[in-house]
Amino acid sequence: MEAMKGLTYRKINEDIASIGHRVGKAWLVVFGLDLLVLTFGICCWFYQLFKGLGVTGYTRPAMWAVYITNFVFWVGIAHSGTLISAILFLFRAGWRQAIYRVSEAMTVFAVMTAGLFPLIHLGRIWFFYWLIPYPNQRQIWVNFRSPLVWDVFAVSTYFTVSAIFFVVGMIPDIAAMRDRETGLRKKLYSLLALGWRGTSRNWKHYAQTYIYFAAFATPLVLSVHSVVSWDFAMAQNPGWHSTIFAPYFVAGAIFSGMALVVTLIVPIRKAFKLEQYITDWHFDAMAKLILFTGNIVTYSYLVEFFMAWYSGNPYERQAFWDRAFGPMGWAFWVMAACNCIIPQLLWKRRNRTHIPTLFVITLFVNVGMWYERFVIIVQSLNANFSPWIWRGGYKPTFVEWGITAGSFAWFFMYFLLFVRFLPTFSITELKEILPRPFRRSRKEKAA
Amino acid sequence: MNEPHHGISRRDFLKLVGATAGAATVAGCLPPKADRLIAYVNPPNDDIVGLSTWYASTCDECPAGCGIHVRTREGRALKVEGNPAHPVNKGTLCARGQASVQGLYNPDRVPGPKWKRGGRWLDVKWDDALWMLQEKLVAASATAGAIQFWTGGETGTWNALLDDWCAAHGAERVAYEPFDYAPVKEAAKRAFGTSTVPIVDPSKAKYLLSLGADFLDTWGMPLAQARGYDAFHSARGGVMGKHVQVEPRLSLTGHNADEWIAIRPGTEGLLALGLAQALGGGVSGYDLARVAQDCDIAPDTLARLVKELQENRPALVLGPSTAGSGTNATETWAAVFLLNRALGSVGTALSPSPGFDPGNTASFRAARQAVNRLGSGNVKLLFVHGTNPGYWLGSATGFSQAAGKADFKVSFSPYYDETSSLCDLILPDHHALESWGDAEPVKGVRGLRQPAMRPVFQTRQTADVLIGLARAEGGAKAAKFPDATFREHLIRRWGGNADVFNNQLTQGGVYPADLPTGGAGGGGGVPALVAPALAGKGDFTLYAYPHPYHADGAGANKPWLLEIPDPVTKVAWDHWCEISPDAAKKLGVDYGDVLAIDTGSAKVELPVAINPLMRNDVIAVPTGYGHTEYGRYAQGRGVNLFDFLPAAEDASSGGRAFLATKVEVTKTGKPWTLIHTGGPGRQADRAVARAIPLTLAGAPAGAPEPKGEPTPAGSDMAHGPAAGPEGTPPFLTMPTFRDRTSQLNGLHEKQLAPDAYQPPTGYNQYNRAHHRWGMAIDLSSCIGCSSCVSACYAENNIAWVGKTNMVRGREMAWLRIERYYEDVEGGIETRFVPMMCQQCGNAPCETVCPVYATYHNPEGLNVQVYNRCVGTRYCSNNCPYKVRAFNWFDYDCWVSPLNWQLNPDLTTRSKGVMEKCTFCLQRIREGKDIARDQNRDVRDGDITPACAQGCPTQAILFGDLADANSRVAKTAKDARSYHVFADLNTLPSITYLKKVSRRIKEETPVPAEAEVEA
Amino acid sequence: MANVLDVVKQAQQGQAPPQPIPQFSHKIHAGDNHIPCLYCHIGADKSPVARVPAVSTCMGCHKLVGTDKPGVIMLTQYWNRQQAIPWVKVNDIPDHVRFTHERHIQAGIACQTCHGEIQTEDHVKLAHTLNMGFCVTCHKARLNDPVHATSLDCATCHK
Repeated sequence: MEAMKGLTYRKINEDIASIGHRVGKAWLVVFGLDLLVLTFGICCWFYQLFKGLGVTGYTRPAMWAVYITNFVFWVGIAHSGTLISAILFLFRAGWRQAIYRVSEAMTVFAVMTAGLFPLIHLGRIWFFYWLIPYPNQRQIWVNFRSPLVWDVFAVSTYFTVSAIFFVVGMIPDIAAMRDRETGLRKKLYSLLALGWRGTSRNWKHYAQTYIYFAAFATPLVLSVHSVVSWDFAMAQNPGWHSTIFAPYFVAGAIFSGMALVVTLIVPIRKAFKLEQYITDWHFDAMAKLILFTGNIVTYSYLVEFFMAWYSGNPYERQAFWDRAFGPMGWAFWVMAACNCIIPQLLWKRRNRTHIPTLFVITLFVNVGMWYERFVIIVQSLNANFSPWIWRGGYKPTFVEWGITAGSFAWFFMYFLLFVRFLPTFSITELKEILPRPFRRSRKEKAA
Repeated sequence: MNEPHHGISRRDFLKLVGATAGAATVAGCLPPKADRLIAYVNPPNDDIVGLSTWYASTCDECPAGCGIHVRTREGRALKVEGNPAHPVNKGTLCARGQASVQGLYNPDRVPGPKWKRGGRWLDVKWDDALWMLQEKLVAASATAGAIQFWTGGETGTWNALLDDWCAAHGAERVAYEPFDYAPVKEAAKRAFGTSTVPIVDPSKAKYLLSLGADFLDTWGMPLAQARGYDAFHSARGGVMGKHVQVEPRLSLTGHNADEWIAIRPGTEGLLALGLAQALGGGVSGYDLARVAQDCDIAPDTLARLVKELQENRPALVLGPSTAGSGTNATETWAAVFLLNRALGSVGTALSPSPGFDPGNTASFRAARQAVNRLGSGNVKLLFVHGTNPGYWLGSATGFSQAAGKADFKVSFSPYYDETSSLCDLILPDHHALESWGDAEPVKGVRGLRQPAMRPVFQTRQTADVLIGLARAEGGAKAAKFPDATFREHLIRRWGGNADVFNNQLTQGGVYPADLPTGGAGGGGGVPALVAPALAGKGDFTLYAYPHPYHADGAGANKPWLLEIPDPVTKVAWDHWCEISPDAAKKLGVDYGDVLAIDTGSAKVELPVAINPLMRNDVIAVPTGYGHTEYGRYAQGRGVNLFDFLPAAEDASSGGRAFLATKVEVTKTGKPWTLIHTGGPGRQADRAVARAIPLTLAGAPAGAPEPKGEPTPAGSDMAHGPAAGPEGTPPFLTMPTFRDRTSQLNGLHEKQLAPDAYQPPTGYNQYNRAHHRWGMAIDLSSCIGCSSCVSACYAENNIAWVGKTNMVRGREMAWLRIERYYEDVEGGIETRFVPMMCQQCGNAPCETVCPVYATYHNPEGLNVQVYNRCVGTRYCSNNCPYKVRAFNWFDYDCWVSPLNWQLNPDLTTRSKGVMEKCTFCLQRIREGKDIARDQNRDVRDGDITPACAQGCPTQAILFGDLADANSRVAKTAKDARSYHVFADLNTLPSITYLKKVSRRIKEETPVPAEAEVEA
Repeated sequence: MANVLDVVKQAQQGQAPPQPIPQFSHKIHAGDNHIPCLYCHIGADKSPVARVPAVSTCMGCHKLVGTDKPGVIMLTQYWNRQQAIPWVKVNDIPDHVRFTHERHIQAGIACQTCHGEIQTEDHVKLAHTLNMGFCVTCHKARLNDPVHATSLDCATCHK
């Protein structure tokens, strides 16, 4: 805890609450660029809307491809947030306190991004509401046997809960910012602070609510991505129809989520000089978690191949042979390199705590996890049952890439706004981890 | 369709009637649906809006003259089906016949008379055009030989009329089509004293040796021959004749053979004589050793062949069709006929008299002489009808230049083709489905042709034009043509009694139940065979074969025929050349690379499709491409082989020698995206196409029902008077249960106040017990011709997507023919599998659809509700057969008037919707409706989907599996039956019958799972 | 879009758009003079389509009947021009639905069930929106009808 020397409540308030003011010009530039990309993505989407999905590289058998890949990717990202804020909270893992706010924000925004893709991917998006069960004069209902309907419930639930959790957790900090602000900002914060006065009753209720939501969110971390994985596991395609998908996907989700947390925190830490708050200790812990989940994922890959061979099922065997050595085998090897091999560097403590190295590794993991979903979806579809339909593979067009880029822009738009206007780190919890003697500085004592 | 309603033209009028007829779904391709109800002013007596009317006619797509039924709705021809009573096709129809409606509604037809001024086509009035022509005609007919009249090969009344007319005007008639059968006719004359192509019926033979005859696809009367072949080869009851195909490049016919002998091109006659000698056919000097050497066939193979021929008499032998006919074609065929005599098939399996008359086409030689006369400048006036010399003889014989010499050139072509572009005046003829006429492909088989609808464009039937011209001249010429119209002329020729004639119309003509057969005298003797003369030099022999759909190029502007993959190579849209894998390795090219083909005199470039079933020293190229005119779909596609091939001819008959040259083949290094449908072409041990050795297939236990006659037009006949489309005189509609006009009688008893309306008594006799619709497909019968695919396109409003989308595998076909190569002893066996929605009883697609857009209906169908579909495409992912097609765009393919062909009985699908085979739900509904109306149950055979209806070998059987006595239910229990991917427990409604194969010793190995029969 | 259409139709319900021959009245024909519907709408009981009477059908009577009435005079003008009368469509089922009059009429469903008390109307009104809800309600009610059991199978109408 040496790094935290010299920190006081006041300093923490200063440092964190002032981030929004310290962003400066750079923020505007970044935000502008971000909006540019987003606009391009939206244009691509409109183009697709008017011409039809044919403007993408989609074809039979690759009826699902980049869009669903993005969906699963973002849902996955969304996981680490709740994991850190809820599960680690319940387990009282001290190191989470510095970073959980960032990852919670990430969660909410990631779900908001993920939610777009099932819609973008629809052939007739203007009828998307037919996937929601509602009473209608046609007297027709949704098909509750379809995993896609389960998705609708899973994702929307997850979004609601994590959003509330996010907002509730911020109340004291927003109150703190409210007290420092003036004018319009003050009004807004006052609104969000829900009249927080910091009385002990406030604190009591706050703590209870927080624990309650943590407990409530915990099962969701596991359920949501399990449900998403069933989109595939419930179908009979070789390469999809597998029982390990749920745990395999959850592990993958945490893996990718953690990686992105690091990817996001490193620049923030640098930009706002928060070395004191986010220390090697934190990065070390996160790196360990990445290494751990990474190895679970690696293990799952191996199990998949083993089962394909061991089952003797010709379809499965063919599918997995193609996955590695088929026309699109390269995608598999990108995935394997990024998710299985590179993370092994984290066995060395030096790599875990050497920020640039860690940063680069997490970038690779992000790429790798995107490709994992791509491989699972496109490769499996290409290696389907009917040999007559086997086709060289699938080439995305600028539309898919444009919309994918747009989705990242969409995510970062929210994240940048978050950094600008909301407490990026939990003032409250940071104070909690201060060692006692430092809770008040001598000056203040004297005064 | 919201036009202002004063002065509605007839065409709009029909459109709008269509709209009221609930055909608003056509809106898929037309402006938004009508907000007006436009009714008839004077309704035809029989036409109940919303019900089909059927007309019998005769197909005009090839010389075989098949009988057809044309389905019309609100005065529009929608679909063509075979006439079950007609002896040539007995209810079946080929892909080209199915696509004839796209010729009728072709957007590139000549809309009316056109006059060329300053290189541009101007509209003219019919009267002005005829007046102009009259003048020239009178002038030209003064001097003999000043008029040349080019026509296609015709038969029947029209043919006679042409001759009379030409005689009257001192015109020289040149009937030319490139596939002229001249060598066969010539050889038949020598051998049998006939001048026709002998009728081939394999069912009467025990053994079939085809020396390059593509008799299932492009030669002779394919449908009749396919029917005979099915009886001969489909192993019903365990007996199956052996079919040996001797060909340098395996044709579609050859793909069905039990053995393939890759003979050196042009040496077929030699082989025939060698065999004749070995079999004691009174031939000498052709001992097998020499023959084996010259033909490049292993001697022991020959020995075996001889033995088999000896043991299996009568054995049928056929000579080379178009592709294999070289400069020695006549002698080759003479040798073949000689061999047939020796094998005792003449008069039975091969009956020379009366024989098949493909039309009185002049030989290639005669055509060239005519071109020379044309070039000499004596010809002042040139008429062209029903033939396209500009494309077939363009530069091959310099027709294009020669035509320039004539003062005035008149084309009667309904299309802007290469020839009409050379002309000064186009007087467009009707399409066959709009015209009167008759055809006599075989003496005694006389088919009638009648208009199925009003002309789509401002066209006139050429016969009427000619008669009009002659009568206008008056005097002797007029006297020759007493009848004012061709129809009257036709009636006179058919006996002069209008009532009798009308009756004949309902039958589609006068014909015996079966094709007449008979032997003939005449000896012939041993032909003096010479080796074929091949121009050019190079390692490859150019093997030019007729494209199965485009044939001589006539089909090249029909989108269906371009989109449906070629049955052998599975290439679509583009023109290609074929070489063997070894040759490809030697040249270092891969599929789609562009090859340069050089005859020495000409050089072309074509992308290559690699075909494992051909000789290494042969390069095969289909004809029918390379149009410079003829329409938006045909133009600028590939190479015109008729120009490219050297103008060689068969010495004896003067027929064109298509096997004419050797070529230099070189790699250009240019890439080309050549569409290839269907993965690796192997089935990766998935047992999609299963086969059973003949030895095991023997047991007739539970052998499938004898197929009997196809049952398209149903059994119970209800004649009723019907007016043709306005303008054409009333004639009877089809005798078919779809025609419910008879129920017009008794209408007036039902004229009660609606609330007092009593349903007819006994109404509920209709048995509402659930059906379970199912299909049985006999892989032993399927010859892979893809007729079913085109029928499906025609029936179900399936969009064609064009090359760019097809490259991405986005074809919309609901039904495809999967062609798998299987390694067997002695080479590769081809297996064709018609693959469409299996209507699974336990369907993977249904469980995953989030909105119930696809669901299981009480009759066992997986119904796809287009309205409900949101396009998640999950169903397609979960479908093991991958038979679902997604609408990636709103395909604007139905360019007006092609949209007239759309079937108003089902939805035209739009962007973002999944679609698939429905077992022709609309036909099921129709069948049930009729059963209800007649207070009876649906009978086996009442309902026939489009694919099953047209199938040349009736390989597809449809019916009610719930009815234990239905043919399909019985066939499904056959020993050979199996389900594709049965191991996935999808419980398909489609049962396949294993192909019976001579070439395997035991069953195809099947993945352990697949043995778990559902 | 379907629902949008519904909304539009709800608005149209009960409205009677102006017709090319405003004087034409179902009340006079079907009501006062008890002319059976099927007399003019020939084929409604044997075809999916209840045919709008051809001009010739109208003239069948109006050559002689009421020739002095303005409506009949307009009709006669159409007839003399041999031109179809552009009636405005009032009852319109949604796209991509295969409704058949034949089955319903043969099952004894009165025309009024869907078209309202037409014999009392001078101008045809849209009695019911004829949307899916309307059809399904009735089909559900008669699911187990002893004589004419209906079906809720989507394929009954959607093809």
